[in-house]
Amino acid sequence: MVELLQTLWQRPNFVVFVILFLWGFYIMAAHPNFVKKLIGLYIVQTSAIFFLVAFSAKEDAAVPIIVSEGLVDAAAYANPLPHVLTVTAIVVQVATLGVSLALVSSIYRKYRSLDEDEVMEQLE
Amino acid sequence: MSSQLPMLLFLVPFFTGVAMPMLAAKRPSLCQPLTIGAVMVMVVLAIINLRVVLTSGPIEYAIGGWAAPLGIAWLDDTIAAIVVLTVSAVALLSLIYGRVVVPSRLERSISYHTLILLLIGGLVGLIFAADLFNVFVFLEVAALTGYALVGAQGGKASVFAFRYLLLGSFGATLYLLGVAHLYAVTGTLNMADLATRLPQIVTSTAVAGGLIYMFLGLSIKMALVPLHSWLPDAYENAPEAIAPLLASTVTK
Repeated sequence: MVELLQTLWQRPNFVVFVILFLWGFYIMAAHPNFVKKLIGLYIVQTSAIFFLVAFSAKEDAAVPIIVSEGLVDAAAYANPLPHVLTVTAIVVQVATLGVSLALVSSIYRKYRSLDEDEVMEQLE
Repeated sequence: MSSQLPMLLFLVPFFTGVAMPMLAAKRPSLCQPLTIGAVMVMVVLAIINLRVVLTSGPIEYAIGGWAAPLGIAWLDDTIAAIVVLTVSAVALLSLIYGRVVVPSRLERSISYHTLILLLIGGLVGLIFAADLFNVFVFLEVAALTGYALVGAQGGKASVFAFRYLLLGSFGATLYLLGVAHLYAVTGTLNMADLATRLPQIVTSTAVAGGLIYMFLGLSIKMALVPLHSWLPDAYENAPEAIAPLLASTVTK
């Protein structure tokens, strides 16, 4: 138990990731308002991106752009691949947000309410 | 030419979908023939592709000229060729069926047909992708167009499309988490590369966790039994022309 707490203490980034993920999932599941569910989904996606960034962090790493000719020491530069994955995931987030807000506005136009319970009652 | 076939198979529906607002803005009745024409061209190309792959072996298409494992590669092997042919044929059949049952408001809608073509294009990309992250990107393209198509009729369908969106995006996020775990352990995203490296390290917690996340994420999208609750509502209320296409291609 003590070792578990010690490993958790030494990795604060990953603890934050777990907290964000679970909190976002709770928001998605528990709140009846559609827009709040969307915010929960956004937090879950952001926590996954945060995980990507967290494990690719490197101390004293240079920006991965080569300005001089000749041999370079790869270990001194930050790994650019997770950066690419992060940017792509952010783009996917934005697209998801667009589609979901369009759906929410279509729901609002028809049912005049953003509350899931009210809308489900109207559907019966 | 035959070495460009995978990209052609992807570009035909994608380009037609993206160019559709330009081509059909003045005459909305052109939308449906354009869509069906594009998918017919795709079926022909898929047959040619299958013949080429069966006779001369798999085509490895390196995008941008960067060869794997450094670059993103598309692998066009026998299974991929068969699946592309199946998807194109099923798309063609469901579009022809759609001619009969589509409500007139959607029949002339440019966005509706654009979404169908983007869905098919995303599926083709998903079939050819040989890189875990490429799978994620095309999975999301196909899924997002699917969410929008399920809610295309408005009203009741939008509510269930929204629920499908929430669960599907959550599944995709879990898949991304799994990919991130696997990348953190092995340092590569190429599927062939991973296949050689995974068997030795599969007992480590990070790899096991990554594989479990990927499995959970994909099973939400596939509606595997404990995680299938979004499926009946979404398909019952989707436009009748879309339900066959989604059921046979996206979910599977």
